[in-house]
Amino acid sequence: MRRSRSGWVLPAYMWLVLIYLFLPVFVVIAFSFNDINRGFNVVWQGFTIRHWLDPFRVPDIVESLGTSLVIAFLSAAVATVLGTLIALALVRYRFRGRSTTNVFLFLPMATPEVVLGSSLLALFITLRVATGFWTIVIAHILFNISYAVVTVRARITGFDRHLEEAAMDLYSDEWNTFRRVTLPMILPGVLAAFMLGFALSFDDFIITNFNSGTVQTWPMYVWGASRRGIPPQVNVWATAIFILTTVAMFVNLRIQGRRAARSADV
Amino acid sequence: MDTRTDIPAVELDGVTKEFADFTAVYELNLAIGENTFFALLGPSGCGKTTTLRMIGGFEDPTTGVIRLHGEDVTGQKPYQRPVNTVFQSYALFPHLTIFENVAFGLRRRGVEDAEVKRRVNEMLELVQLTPFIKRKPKQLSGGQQQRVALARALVNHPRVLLLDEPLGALDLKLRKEMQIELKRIQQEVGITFIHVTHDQEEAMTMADVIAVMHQGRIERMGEPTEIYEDPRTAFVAGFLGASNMMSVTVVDRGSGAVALNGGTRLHIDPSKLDGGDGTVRVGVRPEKLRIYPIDEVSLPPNVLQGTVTDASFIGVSTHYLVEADHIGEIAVVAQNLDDHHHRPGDPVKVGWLPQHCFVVA
Ligand SMILES: Nc1ncnc2c1ncn2[C@@H]1O[C@H](COP(=O)(O)OP(=O)(O)O)[C@@H](O)[C@H]1O
Ligand SMILES: [Mg+2]
Repeated sequence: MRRSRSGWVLPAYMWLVLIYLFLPVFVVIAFSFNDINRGFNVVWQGFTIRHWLDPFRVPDIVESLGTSLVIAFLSAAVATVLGTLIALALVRYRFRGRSTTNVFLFLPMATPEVVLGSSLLALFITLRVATGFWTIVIAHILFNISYAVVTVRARITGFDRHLEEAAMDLYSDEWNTFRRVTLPMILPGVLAAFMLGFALSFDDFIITNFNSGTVQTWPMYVWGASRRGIPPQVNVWATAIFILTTVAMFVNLRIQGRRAARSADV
Repeated sequence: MDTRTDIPAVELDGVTKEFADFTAVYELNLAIGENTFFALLGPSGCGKTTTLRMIGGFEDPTTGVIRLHGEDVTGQKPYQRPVNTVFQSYALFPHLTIFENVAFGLRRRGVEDAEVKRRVNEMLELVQLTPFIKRKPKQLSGGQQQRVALARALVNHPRVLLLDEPLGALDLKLRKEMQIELKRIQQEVGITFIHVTHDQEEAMTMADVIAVMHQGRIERMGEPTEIYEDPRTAFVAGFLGASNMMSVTVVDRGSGAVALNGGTRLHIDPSKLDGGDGTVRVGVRPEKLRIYPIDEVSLPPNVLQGTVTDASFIGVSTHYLVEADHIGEIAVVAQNLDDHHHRPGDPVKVGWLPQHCFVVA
């Protein structure tokens, strides 16, 4: 019978894929508990929670992590605001240069990062701008905008324009209409754009490496450390971030699931 | 009902709307009285929505002036005008509850909380939606959403309410109910309704005054019976219902005597003949015609002879098609009063009164 044969093939396949995906993550987590002091954290020496109790031991880790978080926040925030406005303009208005804008927005996504990073550096040098914190932010805004536009635009398309007219009809001026109707309607897209931008910025290495000057972001620190031996505190922080995002994701799923259940319950 | 007060609720003065390559509304002049249920009737694409959107402030006229109660509002934003709109798609805010949807306009105008609550509840009662105030629009049926849209507009006490095919998305039974409901609400709140529709029955059921629109122009405007009985143009005659049209030659303008192609004399109301000379087109509605056996002797002034080609009995009436000499097929709707049922092939006479004829341009 067909059913019994596929009965175990599919779950087995699923588990193989999951193991393939998560094995590296589990290695990272496991080695945050590895009992070593220095050198390469690759051979299991025994279990300890020492590193978890002392996550601030290596100052560079904390500092680069802080830098990365600030850059991720700034670039995602700016890109989300600009991307939302661009998406609104692209969907709502027919203006000269609209299709050109569409092409240019796609370019940062299609261009290899090496090319993007090196040409940005060339630009900064030409303009005599010293690379550092702000050039990283600018570079990250640049690629984040494209993703923000695409994400928000998906939400605006399929949005009934009459909703905004209805708000105007009900004594809302342009600003109130945006705040009370447009923004709440596209908010899921805007938040998604921010989170995507945050994640893209946080783990970007190639473009950052070209434009960072003397500033060290978290991926750059890890890259540099990998040649001397990565301190187990890196695993601690990575694990913490992984757990945090996983929890956030499940909370979000639960909330959405409950909301869907509530609106289905008529 | 006299709808002409000194200052009309809505006045359009030479309003034209041109889109890039298309003139949607052409030189429109229109005055709508206070407390009128006004229907803007016409086929799809004739410019009804565009006209309504210009009154609401969603489109600016290319030329012309729009006045609300005498005040020039041309160029004003929608939120500056004392009108509210019921959109065809309802356009309810999906992220807000029914209560907040209805409260939206009041809150934007800074009405205080207790007053908002009172007015919203009162309005939801009027449209019989009190049990649903905590729901979201998606959780209501089409008819209920329609009433929310109505309540959301009416709660602001607009001086004019604009409705763009508000019943178009409802099924037939609900539509009939809502027609009566809308009319009741209009009479209760006593404000001007401008109701856009392409359904002539809907317009005639509800409206005090109907304007029939065709290709960006208003062809005929008046009370429903008036424009039905005397449509004045072939388009209006056809749009408001079936009619039998004939070309006749004027014989004697004073008595209203005209002649068909074959010489048959007919009589029409001479007052309707003014201006028309030589050949004119006249029409008569099928329900105005009576069908008689061929040997009938007591006949009205206008009589044609013919042969029944089709007879369909539909209960309240029987619809006949009669092939008449020199005219072709004419439609007759006969009330089922007696047992004179004519069959296809029967020779018959068809007659009507002179005042039931109308003349079209
Ligand atoms: N924004 C627009 N741009 C170009 N043409 C339009 C626009 N809006 C409406 N039209 C045209 O104007 C005509 C009248 O439209 P509309 O007022 O919506 O008609 P109705 O409501 O009577 O069906 C239609 O032919 C339509 O294609
Ligand atoms: Mg329309």
